[in-house]
Amino acid sequence: MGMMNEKHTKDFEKLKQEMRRGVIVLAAMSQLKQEQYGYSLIKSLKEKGFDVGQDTLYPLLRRLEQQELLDSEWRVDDSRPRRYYILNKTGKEILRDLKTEWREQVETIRSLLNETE
Amino acid sequence: MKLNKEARELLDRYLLGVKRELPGKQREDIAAEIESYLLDLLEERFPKSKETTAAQVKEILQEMGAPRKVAAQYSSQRYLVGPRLFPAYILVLKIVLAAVIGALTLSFIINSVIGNTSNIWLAILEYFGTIWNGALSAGGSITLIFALIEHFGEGKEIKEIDELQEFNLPNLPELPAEEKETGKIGLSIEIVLGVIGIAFFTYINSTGGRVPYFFNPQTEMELVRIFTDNFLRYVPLILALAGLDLTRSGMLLAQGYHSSLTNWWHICTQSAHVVLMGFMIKSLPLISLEGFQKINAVDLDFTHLGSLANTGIAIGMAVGIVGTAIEIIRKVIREIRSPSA
Repeated sequence: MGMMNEKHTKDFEKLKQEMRRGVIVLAAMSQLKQEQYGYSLIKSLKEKGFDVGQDTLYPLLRRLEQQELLDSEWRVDDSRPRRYYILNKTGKEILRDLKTEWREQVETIRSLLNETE
Repeated sequence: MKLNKEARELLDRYLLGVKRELPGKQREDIAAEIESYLLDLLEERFPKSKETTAAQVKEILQEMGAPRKVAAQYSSQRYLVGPRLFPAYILVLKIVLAAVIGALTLSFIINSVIGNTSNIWLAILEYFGTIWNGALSAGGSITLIFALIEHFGEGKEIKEIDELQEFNLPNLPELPAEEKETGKIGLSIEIVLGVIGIAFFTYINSTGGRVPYFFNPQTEMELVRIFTDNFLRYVPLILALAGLDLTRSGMLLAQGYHSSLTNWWHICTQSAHVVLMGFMIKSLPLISLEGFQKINAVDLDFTHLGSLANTGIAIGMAVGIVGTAIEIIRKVIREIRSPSA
């Protein structure tokens, strides 16, 4: 019985991570309409209930910048250099489309889940 | 917030460890960003400390994990053989391994039949060693070739590989029910012929290659020698193979479908037939008609007829070897690409 519970927890965590992986981009982009540095973004997301680690977020920010959806610059703040990120014009357009897509998917999933109840 | 000397040294060592694992271009930039994050984290975790100690730095570095792990998050996923090439890689690997193992097995059988082996157990051990080495080096070479294609062909179109991903109707496997159904009449005929064959070869083995004849139906039946000693040497092998074929046909008749076992069984016995025919060609003459010379009143040159018959047998066997070898290759490829249950 104990082993069953352990397996259940493991399977659930694995699937939860898979499910979350797809929406981290949307969550991060949604907070970058205003300028943020990595640590402030992690805190901001955490305060709003979306927990994401630096090991996931920092590489993601770099990837979005390589895709030319974000702009970034190093700035000395509180006598320490920090890298600030913000959505550029293309990033804002993509975010708008992603939000529409997300809302449609939520509706679809909601009706699918209602069918099973 | 200020780091004391030991704390600064520890942090620098950690960042150096991360940098060493990162690609050249972005190394400094990524390390600076990680440093910025760590300093923010230290500030939040120990707000009252006037000076950060090495113990505090150690605490947060332990949470971060090894420099290699942190750096790995920034590297794109690296593959030896990636998802694009993997199906082709597996297909080629299976075919090459089957060919290598088949060829080495044939060479083992040939060596054993020729009688070059003095100790059978040593020969078997050597056989498995050769199979292991052959499979390992073939598998390693294929993997290396695909790894090179993966490395140098990244982002490039590879026509042959892309074709494998496309839908191609003739490449679809047959439905199991249609492909694997066995014909009961055909199998029954095979079994009857197999039994007749076994009875015949057992008989000529017991008569020393002689068969009965009636020169004159009124007289008593006599025996005349047709099969040479060269041929008789192979009779036990012929009987063994016929026995294996007969058992397989019986099995197919009972289960009503071709399974992986019966298909590979067929491939093995056909391979043994090829080897056997090869040896028999080398052992000509297999038959002799000279026995008829003494008893036949007809003026015919049976020596000449015998050599013609042996040539005919050799040609027939050579054609048989080529045909069977082609059939074996087709069966192996089919069995690898679309294995039976």
